[in-house]
Amino acid sequence: MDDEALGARGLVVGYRGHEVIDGLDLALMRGRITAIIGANGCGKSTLLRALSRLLPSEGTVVLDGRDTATLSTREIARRLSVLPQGPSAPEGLTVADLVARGRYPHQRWLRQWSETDEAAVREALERTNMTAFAGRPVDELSGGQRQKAWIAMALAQRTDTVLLDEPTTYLDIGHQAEVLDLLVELNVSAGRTIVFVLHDLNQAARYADRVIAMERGRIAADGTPDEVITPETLRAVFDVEAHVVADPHSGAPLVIPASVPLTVRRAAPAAS
Amino acid sequence: MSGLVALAIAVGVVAMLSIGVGSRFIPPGSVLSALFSPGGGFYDNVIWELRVPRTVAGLVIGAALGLSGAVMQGLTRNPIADPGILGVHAGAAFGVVVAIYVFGLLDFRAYVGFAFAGAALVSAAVWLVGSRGRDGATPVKLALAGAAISAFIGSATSLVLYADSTAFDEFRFWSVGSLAGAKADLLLAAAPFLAGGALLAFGVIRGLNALSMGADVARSLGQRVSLVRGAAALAVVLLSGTAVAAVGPIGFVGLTVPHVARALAGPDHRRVLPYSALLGPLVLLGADIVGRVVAIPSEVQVGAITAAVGAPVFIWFVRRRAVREL
Amino acid sequence: MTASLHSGAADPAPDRALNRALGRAVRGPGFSARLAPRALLVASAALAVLLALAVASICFGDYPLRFDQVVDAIFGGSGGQSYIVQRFRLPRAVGGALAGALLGLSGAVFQTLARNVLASPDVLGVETGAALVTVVLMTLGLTGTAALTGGAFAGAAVATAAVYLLAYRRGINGMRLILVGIGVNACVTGGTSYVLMLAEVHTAERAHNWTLGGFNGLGWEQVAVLATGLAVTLPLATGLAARLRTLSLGDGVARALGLPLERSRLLLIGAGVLAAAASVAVAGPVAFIALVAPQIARRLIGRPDGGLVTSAIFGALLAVAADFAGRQLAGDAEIPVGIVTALAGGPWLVYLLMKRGSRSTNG
Repeated sequence: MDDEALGARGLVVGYRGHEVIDGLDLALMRGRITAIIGANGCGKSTLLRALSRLLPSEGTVVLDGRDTATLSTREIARRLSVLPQGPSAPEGLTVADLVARGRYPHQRWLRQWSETDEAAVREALERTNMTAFAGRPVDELSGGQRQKAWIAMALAQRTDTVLLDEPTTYLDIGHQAEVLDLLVELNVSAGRTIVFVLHDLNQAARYADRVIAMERGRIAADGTPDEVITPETLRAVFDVEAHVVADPHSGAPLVIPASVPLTVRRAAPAAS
Repeated sequence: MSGLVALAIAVGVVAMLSIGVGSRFIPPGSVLSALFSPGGGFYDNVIWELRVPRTVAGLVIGAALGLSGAVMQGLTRNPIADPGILGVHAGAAFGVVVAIYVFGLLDFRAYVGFAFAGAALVSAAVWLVGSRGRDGATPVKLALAGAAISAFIGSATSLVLYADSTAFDEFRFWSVGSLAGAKADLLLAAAPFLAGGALLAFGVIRGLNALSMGADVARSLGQRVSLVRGAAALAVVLLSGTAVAAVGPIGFVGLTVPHVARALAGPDHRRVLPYSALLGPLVLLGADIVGRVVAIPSEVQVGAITAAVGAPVFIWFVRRRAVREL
Repeated sequence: MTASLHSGAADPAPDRALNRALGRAVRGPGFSARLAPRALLVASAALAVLLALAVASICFGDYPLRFDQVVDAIFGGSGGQSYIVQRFRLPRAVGGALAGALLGLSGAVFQTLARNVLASPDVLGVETGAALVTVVLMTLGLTGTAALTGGAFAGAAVATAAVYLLAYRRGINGMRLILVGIGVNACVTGGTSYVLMLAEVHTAERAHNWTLGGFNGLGWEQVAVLATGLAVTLPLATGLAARLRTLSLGDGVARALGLPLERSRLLLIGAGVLAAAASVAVAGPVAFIALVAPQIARRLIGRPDGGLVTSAIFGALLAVAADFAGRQLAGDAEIPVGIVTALAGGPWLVYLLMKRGSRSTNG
């Protein structure tokens, strides 16, 4: 369990004099779910993009024990899939076609649609509950369905490691839970290593083994949800006063901002 | 403010140059005396009959092109939009061809009315097609409608030119665009249209600023989006339609001047419009002066110069700045 | 289960719908491909129509020929009729089809690459570059076919290379490419109109007619140039089709899927420009085919990346049809093919727009 799926050594991202991340070390363990949290502009998306080589960086990124600089982009794409924020599909592209494009890193010039390709696409559609929508254009789906179609595309890549940048943003609460449950299911049943950037701290606490809190391009706190989601860390990272209580359902830490509730303020208008 | 003052001074200098420079050079002293105490000077005739109207034409047409380009790009929120996209140029060209081919008119001055009518009709058609549907005249629809209708009208023009070589020979000189034919009476006739267009343009500044944040935000700020868009489009047609009717199609100025204006003045249309109105004449008159001296004793029309001189500057600009995706 | 809660109706028979959406698989040892039956059907139907139109355009003319006479002439007959067919009508039909195919192919590449229905090789300067060199050569009196074809091709290549290089700055940004293209186009067009004005009227008129595009006077030499162009660019582009499809998902996703971004883009732009430049060099810029052919292919196939080959076939079909119409409509005279395509293509685009406008939700 303790071997590293993805890691960074002395990672530097950004232009000279404007480093967003300056010298970051990180090891993400195989078979775990890691959530990266932090305030807007703290570099969490940048870290995810640098780890997946969407952004050029200095330093070393290690994937399955190998320096990614020695791997071709295609080889990386066969081991690691990443879903960027807010992707958009060409008008009229069907879900099946979109998911099939996830097979690109496995295809060869003369081998465009092997049995494995087709099986991977069918499985990805099934896992995301999107089989019934296979023939529908992506741009005609609701926001939640569309996000699942994109996740299906990343799953069709059949990589051991899956990175997602804010996969639940703009989704309603039902779809948020569905997407996160799906990722947990992938982790539990298929042993995939999952890394996501999340805005919602309660989701991070509930769905991740490990939470990494970032602040100004550095790792401010790193550990289990219980270790990281504390009033002290929240104050340091988000500059917010909050109570942390145990979620009565799962026992995971639950963040409640300490601002004065409306009812209290109405009762005592002069209090603040 | 200091930027505007500097620009105004630059325009003044270029205007003086434009009166002085030509196939016959007139020294600055004679220019000033002819301008301010006319009567009997050797150069008076040249200056008052030719150079001054031409310079005034450069000033007002340049300002009209710069303004209409800025309004057009604000209206469509598209940095590659120029008044030509509304079909103004294609319409004017078709009007001129009709004047030559159908009515047998062979006088440059007689084209003006036809050119303006063509520009107005075609832009109205573009507007009608582009504003269909619930969401009104969105930038994308407007650009597509403009491209489609312009191409259609353009090929009709080509067909006439293909069939009639007299029309072609007349047309090719009109189609380059030149300030040389601008005379006082022409400018007087154009003045009300240009003034109306300029007033409208400055009137929709607040609307354009609101539109730049998107139609929904503009609506929530209390702007009547369709009214702003309609008024802005009318301003563009009045300004650039009159300009193209008066001096022929001069493309590049309306497209590029607003980019330079935004780079100097920021995105606020309260600054972009005045900057564009000053940069337009600067570019147009500057190009016209170059055209007069580059091939002495003959002249190169300003329409051929604006692009040749302006394009490298524009490309340098595009490379230097981070371009915004739309 | 949540799926049914959160969305409208899913397809009623999921398995059949899935199989239809996935298409047919063709597999052999070391070889596999995904086939869309509908795309094959559309392509073969278009090919049949193209063939029929080509034969019809060979039959009709100042000197009408019967079908059997044409067949006889094509397969090595001799005599006056065969001479007309072999020397004039056949190369014109074949050349027109090839020129149209090249434009359709180029349009499909650029529209998919830019995800923009208005994107076309003209933006990069193919037409203006070719036009400038052609006009200069005509003014200088160099009007030999080889000089004009080679010059136009070189002009197109130099102009597009200039646009690409001037726009390159740590990679290619779509908007910067378009803006630089506008600048270079304007510059080159300014030069062209200046030369046209200096030129004596008959030269200017010839040059103007060149800009309308035309298949009149195409001979076997030009057909050979066009055929070479298609033989190079069609395999190149279809070989890159998987990359093109991946690129159309956006830079971020394409890179995440392991696509070498800049290299793929350069190769695809190269293939698209080469195709358009070969066509423009030989037949002049024929308007609207590059724009409309991929649209038709896309609509009939029902997929956004409606196949490069199918777009090429529709390009050929449109070119032959427009040429045929241009010869028949005006009696004795002949309307250049570029005018016919624009006169027919403009309203088509307006129609598309109106149809889309009525159901458009986002703009």
